[in-house]
Amino acid sequence: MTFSLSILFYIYLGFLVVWFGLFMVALYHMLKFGFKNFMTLLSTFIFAGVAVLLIMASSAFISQIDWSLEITLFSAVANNNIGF
Amino acid sequence: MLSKYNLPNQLPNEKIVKIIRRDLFILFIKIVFFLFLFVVPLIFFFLLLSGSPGLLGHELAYPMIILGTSAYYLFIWLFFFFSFIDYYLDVWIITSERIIDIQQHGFFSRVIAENKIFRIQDVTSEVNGFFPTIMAYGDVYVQTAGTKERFLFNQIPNPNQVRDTIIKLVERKKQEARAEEKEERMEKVV
Repeated sequence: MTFSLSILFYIYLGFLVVWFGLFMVALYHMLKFGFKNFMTLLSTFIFAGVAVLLIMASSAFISQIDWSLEITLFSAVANNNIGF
Repeated sequence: MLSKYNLPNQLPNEKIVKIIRRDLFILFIKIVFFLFLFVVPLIFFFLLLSGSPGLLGHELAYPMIILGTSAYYLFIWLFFFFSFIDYYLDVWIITSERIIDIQQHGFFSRVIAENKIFRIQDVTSEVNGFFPTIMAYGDVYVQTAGTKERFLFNQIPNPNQVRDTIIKLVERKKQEARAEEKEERMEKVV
């Protein structure tokens, strides 16, 4: 069974879209319903900052991978070489 | 945004006496839990590599590990944010006129309840368990006239002190009401 590695990448991108939506909802709640003070702004900044760092670190690793690669799984099954 | 200078439906001459959140120890427990979740993949990979190092030899392994780890940490961070919001947005505000209970139940569900100070009949504080006793946090129940349900201040620091504060406010309110009544009577007599 052969498939392109890029499929995994697209699944990851889909996941990232869901994550981003939920993160925006969280930010909205924090800024809309939190107290108007330094603590609210600081905690929001820290959560957003670490999230950006995580995405940057992830993209640094992800960019090193060749996503055009074709992967063969269960090669024994694909070549009909199962020795029963 | 909520402001201590602009409360919801603020009454004339209303002053904030206390703003209370759950005890910091509750936040600390959440932080420890999420720190544990942060360490779990490291333990997992250590055990995996020491058990069967050949697993990482497949060309699919590296992309899967990178994507999986990235997704895991992003979601853990998001859930930690959710958990912090749940802690941070649950607030009890005691003012000179009323007590306001603001509760965030997950997302898209926010409950704001209030009780007038003069309606309060009974205030009970409760410290149960090992950690609450050591860390001095607990619950305060406020019973008001005409309502079956009690107002609950959940896992707040120094519950006895908060109970005393509320009782003092109730007493002061009652004294003010008595004084007003007396003045009215005097005016009628005159």
